[in-house]
Amino acid sequence: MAEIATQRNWVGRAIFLALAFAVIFLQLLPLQTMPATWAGPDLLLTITVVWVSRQPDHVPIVLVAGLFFLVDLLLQRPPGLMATLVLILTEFLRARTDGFRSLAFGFEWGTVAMGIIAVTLANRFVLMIVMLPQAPLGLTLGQMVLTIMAYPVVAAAAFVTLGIRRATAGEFTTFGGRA
Amino acid sequence: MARDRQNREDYVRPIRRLLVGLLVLALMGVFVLWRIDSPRVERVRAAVIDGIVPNLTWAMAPVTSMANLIADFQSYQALSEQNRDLRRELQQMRAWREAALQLEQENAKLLDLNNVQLDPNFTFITGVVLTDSGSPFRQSVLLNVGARDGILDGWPTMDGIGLIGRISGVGQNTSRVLLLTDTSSRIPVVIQPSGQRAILAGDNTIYPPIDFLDNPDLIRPGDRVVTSGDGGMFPGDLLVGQVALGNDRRLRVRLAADYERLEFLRVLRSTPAETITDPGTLIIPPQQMFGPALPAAALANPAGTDG
Repeated sequence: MAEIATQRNWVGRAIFLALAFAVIFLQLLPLQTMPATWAGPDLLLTITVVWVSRQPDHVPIVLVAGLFFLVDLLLQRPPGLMATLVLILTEFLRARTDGFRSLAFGFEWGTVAMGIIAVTLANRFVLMIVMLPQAPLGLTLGQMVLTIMAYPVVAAAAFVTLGIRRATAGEFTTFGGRA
Repeated sequence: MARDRQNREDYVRPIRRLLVGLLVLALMGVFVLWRIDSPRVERVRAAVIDGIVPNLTWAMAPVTSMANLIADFQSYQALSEQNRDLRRELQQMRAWREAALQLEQENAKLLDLNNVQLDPNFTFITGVVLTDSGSPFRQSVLLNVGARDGILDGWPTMDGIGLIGRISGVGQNTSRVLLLTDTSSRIPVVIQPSGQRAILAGDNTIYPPIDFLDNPDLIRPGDRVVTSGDGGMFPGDLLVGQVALGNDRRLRVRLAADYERLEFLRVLRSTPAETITDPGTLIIPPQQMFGPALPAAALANPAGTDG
């Protein structure tokens, strides 16, 4: 039983990684060379929080750290800052996966939304402290709201297409919290 | 089995906590290092991008052209409207062409009269845009030319008409162009009829504002903006755009380059400005005597009396 679970985890990890790379690839396509007046949701962050709150075993911590550090490098962000914040956010959510299972979806969404708001504000705060140029506030807040709005959509899409649902009580977790 | 799990968690949990702590420390360490010693980390970043992005080109090219095809198809709907506008524009352009031809002749004549030598070092390398910045908060593109082609940091980049940005970050096969619209882009410019110097400061909009302007009253919308070459790291007289008055009553620049479709960009080889290392020899003229020289007789017999 444990072997089957482990194997399923590896497949899940591969799927998550492939999805993440597809999102990065689409973002890098040279289609948007005009400055945007509004920013779409940060899809990579959305799928990461969906996966962490639903199938934490498929998103091991090293994967999150490596992936977001790479994205920091690729997308010209301050390297390491966003990766750290997302890492802390995923740890925060990972510890609450059990709670999500027994409570309504609204609770899960609210927790994730607060996490995303905290990450956005912390990012701006750190950039302010170290006196780095900031993106326009409206753009950042717009992206934050859209990312939060995208959470149920991505969660539903992941459930319908990939069967990513909240882990049930009997499931064996290798590296997550208590089952 | 339950006891197994219990045991497992007992030793997994502290290790896990340690792992989280180490990862956070490492990532914040990189961030702090980047803030302190940016060029070193930026070189690493350029090397990483250099290693990854060129491998994706085979997949990116078809997807990009497909997306552009769809965009083109959508624009067919507005075709007749566009056609009418173009006709009207063509009418105006004919008049301008006439004026341009006359000016060209005049210009050639004047250049001939002055015997002007344009800078022979002013050649360019053309690169293809590989990717954009991938984020709405950063305005930059990646070109497929790099250190291999002799690209250096700070070189200006243009499309056919106007300035696009400057090279910022060079990998072996790729280089990044920081567009004029990025929030960290600052370019010294001069505004043409009045000759006022200012800084073009990108702010993530398509119309970057003009900063540090001495006397805004001398500027009016429509004035030409060109690079000034101040600071010595950027050549002068590259066309940037025209002054426009923004909705917020700030003076902004309507860029001459077409930011809508950046595909082929020219990187100008700009020669480094001459550095002055020895101010003394430059400013003070060589010691020499002014006025007529003393007659030889007076030198031979300084105490003698005139006849």
